[in-house]
Amino acid sequence: MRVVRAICERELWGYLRTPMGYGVMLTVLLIDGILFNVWAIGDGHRRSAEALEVFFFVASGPTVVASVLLAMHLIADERQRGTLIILETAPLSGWQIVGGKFLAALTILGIIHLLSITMPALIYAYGRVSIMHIVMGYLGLTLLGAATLAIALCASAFAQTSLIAAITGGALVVVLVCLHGVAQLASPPMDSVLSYLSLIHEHYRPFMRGVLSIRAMAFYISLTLLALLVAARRMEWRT
Amino acid sequence: MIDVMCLGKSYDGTPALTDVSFSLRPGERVGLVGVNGAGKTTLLRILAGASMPTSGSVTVFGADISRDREHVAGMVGFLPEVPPLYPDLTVREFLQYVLALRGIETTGTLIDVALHAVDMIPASNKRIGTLSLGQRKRVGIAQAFVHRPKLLLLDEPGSGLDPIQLDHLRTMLRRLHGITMLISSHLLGEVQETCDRVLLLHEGRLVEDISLHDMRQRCLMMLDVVSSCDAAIDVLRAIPECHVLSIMNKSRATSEIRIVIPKKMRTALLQHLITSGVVLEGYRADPTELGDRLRDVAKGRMPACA
Repeated sequence: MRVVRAICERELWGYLRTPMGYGVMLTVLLIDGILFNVWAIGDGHRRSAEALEVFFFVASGPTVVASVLLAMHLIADERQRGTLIILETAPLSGWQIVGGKFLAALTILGIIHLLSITMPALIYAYGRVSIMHIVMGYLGLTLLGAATLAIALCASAFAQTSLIAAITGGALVVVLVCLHGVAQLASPPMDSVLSYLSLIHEHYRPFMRGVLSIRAMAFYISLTLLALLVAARRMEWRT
Repeated sequence: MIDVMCLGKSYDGTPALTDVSFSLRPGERVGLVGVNGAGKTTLLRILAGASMPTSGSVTVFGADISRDREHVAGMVGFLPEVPPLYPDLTVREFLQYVLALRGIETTGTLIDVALHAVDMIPASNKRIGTLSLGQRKRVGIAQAFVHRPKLLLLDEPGSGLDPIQLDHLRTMLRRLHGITMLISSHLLGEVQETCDRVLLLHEGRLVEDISLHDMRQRCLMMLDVVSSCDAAIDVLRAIPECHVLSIMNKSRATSEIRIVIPKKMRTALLQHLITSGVVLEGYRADPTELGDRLRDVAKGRMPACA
């Protein structure tokens, strides 16, 4: 665990010592703020629970994009700079490397979510929503972000450069998001399978409404673990 | 003890190492020499656990590298040709991170010892990104041995260093007692100064495994033979310690035969040639330096003579 913490701390410093971490955080918060004002609040006639639901819906986009941006460099950049050899020649398992890096990116994502809480707090203060609605919304947002981070981290483990990792990871996420649309064109039972694999539509909606969905939680956690497992295996694989 | 047995490595069917076998004794300093593409870096990467062999086995102090990579990695320190460094960290933070990756609680002592050995104490709080090439190399060496490895692998540690820094590097390497070292280098002087033994790789094969002491006992001779060249060759080939390298016609009557023999046999060989009826116009002896010999082997002009 000490080793995972060391890798996590190193990555966190990496984010916070360079403009990249702050850039991603500020951009996400800015976009969240704009979307909150334009979509969630709108002309002010929306019911507060509905406004909160819309906020969590619009916040999913920046979260997904931020996750890809935060994870793209995690391993590919080390490979590009030649520092991956430090990890490859240390007595580390693939899980320790991947785990440390994933936790660092998840922490940054958590900080972004923490800073964005002012927006739901406004709805809470001036409207009628339950705390649990906000908690469930953020739980869903975190689970979605974690799954996206894991997919992008997995892409980073295979890519030679951060750019390739971003393109590959982004493409994978887009495919998973679009599966819902594809499912509507497919016939049974394929439509159910594709719909179930859809990253946002099928699983994120209950959280937007403040509902805890165990099925959706299981989906996001399984997807996260699967992507991390593949990344860890890649790190242990030697040519 | 490090045992490399019949090691082979190929990339997409192209062999990088073929049937390489050797052993390193604890505390021994061995130079790994060869031209570009000889397989030096591939061999070091396998020993460091960054790459896996296609065939053969590597045992590092009793642990098989293929089955117990993590355990072996704990005993090995590796400096690649380009030192792997994080420019945003200070030298001390970087070494702390390297130790943390190996699960070692940072007491500061290990770091201070390593920094002292590479003469980087004054720059320990500087960011790596602001250091000169020579200083970065020294930080790279420090990260390779800060955790006190049993086996230290250095890939071209002298590349990019000026003569003063090279001298300092040699002194530093000599100071690291008790660590088994395998040092790859193009700078043959570096190998002569710091190593006890030389492994010569050529086209992925180990063509020479010889101690520097043995190497210094040999010399190159050029014999100008006036009489029948074939007769002289027959006489020379009958001597097991003698290796005929080349035969060249100098004129219609004279041929030059190049041989390698133990230095102590020079006089006896000349006497033997004369008593065998070989007429010599002259001869020259050259106390062949290691660099010349290795260059000759690499160019295919000299046989692997153990």
